[in-house]
Amino acid sequence: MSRGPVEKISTQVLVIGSGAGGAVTAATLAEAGFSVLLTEEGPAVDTSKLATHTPKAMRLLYRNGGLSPILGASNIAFAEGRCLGGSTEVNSAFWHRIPPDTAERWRGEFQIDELQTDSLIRLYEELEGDLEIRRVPETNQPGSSEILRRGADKLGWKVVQVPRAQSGDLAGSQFAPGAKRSMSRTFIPRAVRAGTRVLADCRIMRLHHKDGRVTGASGRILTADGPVNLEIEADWVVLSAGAIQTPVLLRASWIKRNIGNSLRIHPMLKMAAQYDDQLDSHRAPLPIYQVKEFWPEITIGGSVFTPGFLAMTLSDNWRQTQGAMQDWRQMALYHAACRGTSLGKVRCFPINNEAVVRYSLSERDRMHLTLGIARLGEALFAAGARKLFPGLRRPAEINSVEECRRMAENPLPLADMSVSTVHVFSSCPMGEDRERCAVDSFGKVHGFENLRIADASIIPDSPGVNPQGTTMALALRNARHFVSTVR
Amino acid sequence: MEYPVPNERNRSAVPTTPVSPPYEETDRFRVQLFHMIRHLLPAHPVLDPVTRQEVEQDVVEFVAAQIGGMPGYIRVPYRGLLLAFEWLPALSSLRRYSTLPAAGQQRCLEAWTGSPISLFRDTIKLVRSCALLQYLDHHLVLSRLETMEPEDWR
Repeated sequence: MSRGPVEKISTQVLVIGSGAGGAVTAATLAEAGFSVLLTEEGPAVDTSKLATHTPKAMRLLYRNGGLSPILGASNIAFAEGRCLGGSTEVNSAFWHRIPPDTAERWRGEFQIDELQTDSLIRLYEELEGDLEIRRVPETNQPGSSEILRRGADKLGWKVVQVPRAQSGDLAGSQFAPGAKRSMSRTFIPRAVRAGTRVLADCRIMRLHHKDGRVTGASGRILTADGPVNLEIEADWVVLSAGAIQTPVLLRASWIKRNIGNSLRIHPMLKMAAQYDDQLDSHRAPLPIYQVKEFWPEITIGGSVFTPGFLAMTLSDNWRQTQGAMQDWRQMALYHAACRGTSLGKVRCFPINNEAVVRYSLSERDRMHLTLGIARLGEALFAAGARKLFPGLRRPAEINSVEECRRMAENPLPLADMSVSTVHVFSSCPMGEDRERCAVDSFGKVHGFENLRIADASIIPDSPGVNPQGTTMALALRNARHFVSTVR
Repeated sequence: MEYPVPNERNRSAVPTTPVSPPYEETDRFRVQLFHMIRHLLPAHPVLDPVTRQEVEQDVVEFVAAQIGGMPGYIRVPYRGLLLAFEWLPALSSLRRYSTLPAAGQQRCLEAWTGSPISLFRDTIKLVRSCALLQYLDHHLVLSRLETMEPEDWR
C-alpha cells in the first residue's frame, strides 16, 4: 500500500462487509458482548431518500456501476451492491427458505454437522419476524405479476407469491425509498445500538496471518482529507464481503485452499412483453409471483421495470425493436433463471486486487435458459400477451406460442444470449469435506483458528432460490455457535 | 455539432473509492461519446433544444462514468476498442469519427453494430445500453414520456 498516515485500531472481532451475512453477524456478536468493528468498502448512503433503480443510484450503490463482468464463452453481466448494507440495499428483498430436502442433501454431500431442518426453520422464523417478511394482499398486486400468475394458472403450472422484506405500504411503488427492510434499517442499527463501531468507505486489502492464526488486517479508509491507511488488530476476523470479494481478499492474502474454485450462479435471461391494456409497470409494486413448475432447475418471474430497463432489454435488436417503445406503458419485464451447473472461478488481478470472475455456461445451463424463456413465453401468451421481445440477439420478437415451443427444441446459441445474474454463491463452500470445502460446518476457515466466513460464499451449492434468507440464517446459526464455543 | 463541455452540475465523477482515486475520462473522450450517443438515442420524446442538450450532457456523463467505473483489466481493452472506433475511419477518409459529418458517423455506427465480429457489436451495445438507460430514465424525459400518446411517436 502507499505511504501516508496510518491509523491503528484494535478490536475483538473484525467483521468485513455489511451485507446480509455481515450485518447479522455483527449484531449477534455485539449483543453477546463482543467488541465488534464492522467495515464496509462502499459508502453509507441514506437509501430512504434515494430510489435504488435510478442511474444515480447505480453509480453510488453498485460495484462498477452495476456492470461487473463475469467472463466466459459468453460474458455475463453481474450486479452487486457496494454500500453499507450490501446487496440488501438494492435487491428485490424476496425471501425464500431452502426446502428441507436441500438442507438434507447439503448435510450429506458436503458433510455439514448439525444442519437440521427444524433448527433452520426456527432461524428462518426468527429472521422473518425481524424483517417483517410478508406477502402483498390481493388488492395491491402489480398488474404485470398478476398476468404471469393468470397465465401459469391457465396452463396448470405451479406459481407462488414470494414474500418480501418490506415495511409500510406494500401497495407503494417498487421504488419507494426506505420501504425495504434492508440491513441498513434492521441489523446494522441493532449492531450499533449494541456497541458496534461501523466504518464505511473502508476497504480491507490484506489479512495478516501466521501459523493458522489471523493477526490483523490492512486497509484504507476514505476520510474528508483523503484516503488513510488502516492497520487493524483483531482476535477474530469474520469475512462477509460476498461470494466474489471474500475469495478475492482471501486469495490476495495467500489463503487459497478451496477458495474461489466453486462459484455458482443463477444465470438469467430477460423478456419484455407487450399487452393490449395499459399497465404503467414503472409505478407498480415489484413483481411478486414466481412460476415454480420447473423448479429447482428453472424459475420464472417478473423483473423491475422502467423505460430505461425496457430499452436495455430491447437493445440487442434496437433497430428492429425500438418501435415497441411507443407502447412502453403497456409493457412489462420478466425473467427466466436457472440453477447454474458449472463451477466458476474467482481470482484477484495481481496488480490491484480487482476481482476476475470466470463462469462458462454448461450445455445444461444453455438448455435450461432456453426452456425457461420458452416456458415464460407460453405463460405470457396464455395470459394474453400480444408480442414478446426476448433479450436475445435472435429472435428479436416472438409472436406465438408455436414459436416458443419451436425455440424450446434446441438450446439457443451462446452468442445470441444476453445473460445476466444477481445471485452468486458457493465460492467458499462449507462442510467437513476438506477436499472441496473452504470452511467447516460453522463457517470457520479450515486450517485457521480465528478466521470465519459469513456470507453467500459458504452456501454449498445453488439453492435455486433467492439466497438472502439462507445467507442470513446460516450467518445467525454460525454466529451463535461461535458465541457458544468462545464464551 | 459541437459537444458543449459539461459544467460542474452534470460532471458526475466516478464515485471515489477508498483504494484509488476516481478514474476520470478525458474531455476528448467525452466528445467522442457525444458524437456516438447523439445517433444512438431515440428521437422521441421530442424535447426542446435546451432540455435535449441538458439531457444529452447527462447521458454522456453517465456513460463516461460507467466506462470509467469498469475494472481496469476490462476498461483498458474496452477503451482500446473505442479508440479504434474513433480512428479507423481515418484510414479511408483521413478524418476521425468525431470529425466526420453526421451521415458518416451514422455509417460507422451501423457498420460496427451489424458487424459479424461480436467484439465490435458488443463495443457499441454497451454504449447504447447505458445511454438508453440514462436517457429514458432521466427525469426530464420520463415526465415527457408520461404525457405522450402512441400517435406522438410517429
